[in-house]
Amino acid sequence: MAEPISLPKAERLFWLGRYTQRVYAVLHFFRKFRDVIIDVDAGAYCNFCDLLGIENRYASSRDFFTRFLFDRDDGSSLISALISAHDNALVLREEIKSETLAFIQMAIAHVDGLPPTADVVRWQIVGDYMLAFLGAVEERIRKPRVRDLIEIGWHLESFDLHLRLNYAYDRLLDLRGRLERRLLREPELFDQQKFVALKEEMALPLFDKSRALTLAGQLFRVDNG
Amino acid sequence: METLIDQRDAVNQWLARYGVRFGVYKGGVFHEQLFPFDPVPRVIPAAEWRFLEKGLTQRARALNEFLLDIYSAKRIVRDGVIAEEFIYAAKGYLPQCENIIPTGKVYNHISGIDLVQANDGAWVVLEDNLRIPSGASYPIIARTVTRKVSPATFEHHEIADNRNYPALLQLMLDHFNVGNGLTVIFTPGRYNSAFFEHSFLAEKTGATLAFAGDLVVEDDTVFYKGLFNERQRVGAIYRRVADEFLDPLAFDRHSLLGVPNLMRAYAKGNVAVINAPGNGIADDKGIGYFVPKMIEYYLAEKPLLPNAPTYLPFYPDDRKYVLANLAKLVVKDVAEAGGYGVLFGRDLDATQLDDLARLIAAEPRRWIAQEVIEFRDLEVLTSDGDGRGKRKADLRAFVLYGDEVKVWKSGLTRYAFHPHSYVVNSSQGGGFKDTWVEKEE
Repeated sequence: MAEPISLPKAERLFWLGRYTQRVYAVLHFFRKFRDVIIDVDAGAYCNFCDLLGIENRYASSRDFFTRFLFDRDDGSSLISALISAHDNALVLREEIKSETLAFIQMAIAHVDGLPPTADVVRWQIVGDYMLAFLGAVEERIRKPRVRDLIEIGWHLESFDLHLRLNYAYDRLLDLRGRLERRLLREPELFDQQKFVALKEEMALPLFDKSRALTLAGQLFRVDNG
Repeated sequence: METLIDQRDAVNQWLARYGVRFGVYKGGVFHEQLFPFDPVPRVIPAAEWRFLEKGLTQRARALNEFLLDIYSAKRIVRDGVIAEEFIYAAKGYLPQCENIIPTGKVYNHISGIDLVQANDGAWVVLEDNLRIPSGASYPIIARTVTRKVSPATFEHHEIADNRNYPALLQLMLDHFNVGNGLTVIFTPGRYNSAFFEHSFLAEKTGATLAFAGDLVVEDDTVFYKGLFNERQRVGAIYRRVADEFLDPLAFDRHSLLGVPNLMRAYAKGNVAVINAPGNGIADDKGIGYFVPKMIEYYLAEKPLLPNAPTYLPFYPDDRKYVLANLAKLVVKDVAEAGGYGVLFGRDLDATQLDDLARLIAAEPRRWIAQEVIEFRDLEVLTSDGDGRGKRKADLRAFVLYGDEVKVWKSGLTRYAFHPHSYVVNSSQGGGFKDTWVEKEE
């Protein structure tokens, strides 16, 4: 008999996938906006916050550069996402294996060693660690459901973030397709009607982004009820 | 050996990579810190280990007989070997465990026995840990890392491989598993000081790490709760939750860490609980004094490993001696653990000695006193002077009691933070070393 996975464990695995993707992807988006801010629009960070749906609590672009990366009291910051990934990973060691957990440990240790005003370029290796983490998930984890739960979280977060940032339609379809392939491995863990509704919404000529985001957020379903 | 020492930084980087930490509460706030590792190992020659193995096996067997007796016939009390005041007044004695006989009549499935080696080379037992002894994971991971970082060191030394501990543990857990059920390691949670070890041992043994709320008792049987109300029977619980929090219906009713009705399932023999609840009576510091007597009483053997010379102020003659020699003794509060409640008479001024004497006179059962053992210093690497120093160190040996008694060929060597300190607990700033047991010729 296959070993069951408890509800809290399933949720942690899912959120581990989401938070690691969030660190990886937002780091990438942050660098792109950082580039825009250099010579085009000093207020672009406000748009960045708007698109991601995070509270703009920053006094200036300089303040944003620092606090968005390092402020542990700001739940939207990158360090907060990394800590959340770590919090979930730490209690999943026996499922994800020490070698996989190590990439998150090393990312945390790296950031802990940075001065609090360090530029985002010093975070490059953190993004590399997140990708290495995903590789280790594929390579090291033997239980299919454990892998699937992390990968569903990873791809759902990717779809969600790209949708928020108005990526090209083709790109969104590609990301939704990646998510769908993971969901189909675990049909009982997601709401299939919601996924059909998401597809129908996105098929409309001018689809409603916020409805698509809501539907995406309702796909994962593991409660015992 | 020099190669390994040269690779000290690399070793520490690997330990950080694995997240080798322990938790401490400072001012009520939880912190996690790395457990400092010193690469110079403690080396125990094969012949010496053979003797230790015999002595430790003997001790674990006697302690198990004591637990079986004390929760059933109580012959040792009836025969006057141990005064009943040492049993029923002890915090570790749990009346709820009366007449519950665990599977295989084994109580102390895992014993962590703390020893020191005196300057003359003799090994002396300081105390037994029979409830939830921790620390085995650190030498395993240290060996894993040091072999990786400095393979040449191990090519030139014939050392018993200590990475078999999870396999020994798994074998023992399987042996007691009831109904071929799931084996779980039951943890109080992430904010327990030994959480790293709980998760690490779950990973290495293939057991499921279970938190409060993951387990439920139905029809006196324990189940692990899966998704969509799936239930899987649990056959063995390696619990790292303290007795008092294990079952709110049997012990502390405010416990949020336990499983209601777990003790009913255990009493009916439907699940193995490892270590058995109620073991605290046998590792009470006051009871430690009687272990050599237990060995003679239950096993009819001469004790191989002596206790540190201990006095019980409960007995008038001992009390007289303790009060007259307080300045040269170490006094321990039997209710404390983790290096707390340990007072060295030589560190106290006259007023403090008087205060302590009054406390002992008022509550003699609460204290034990021991002669200070001048235990052997071990070499450590330091960051000052010539980079080498000496520290006091103890050894926690692990004895596993399954279908037979096995002593793990390694152990946790902990050393003191300060050069002349005798307190080696990690919670007091100390570090650890690997323990090498030389292979037989």
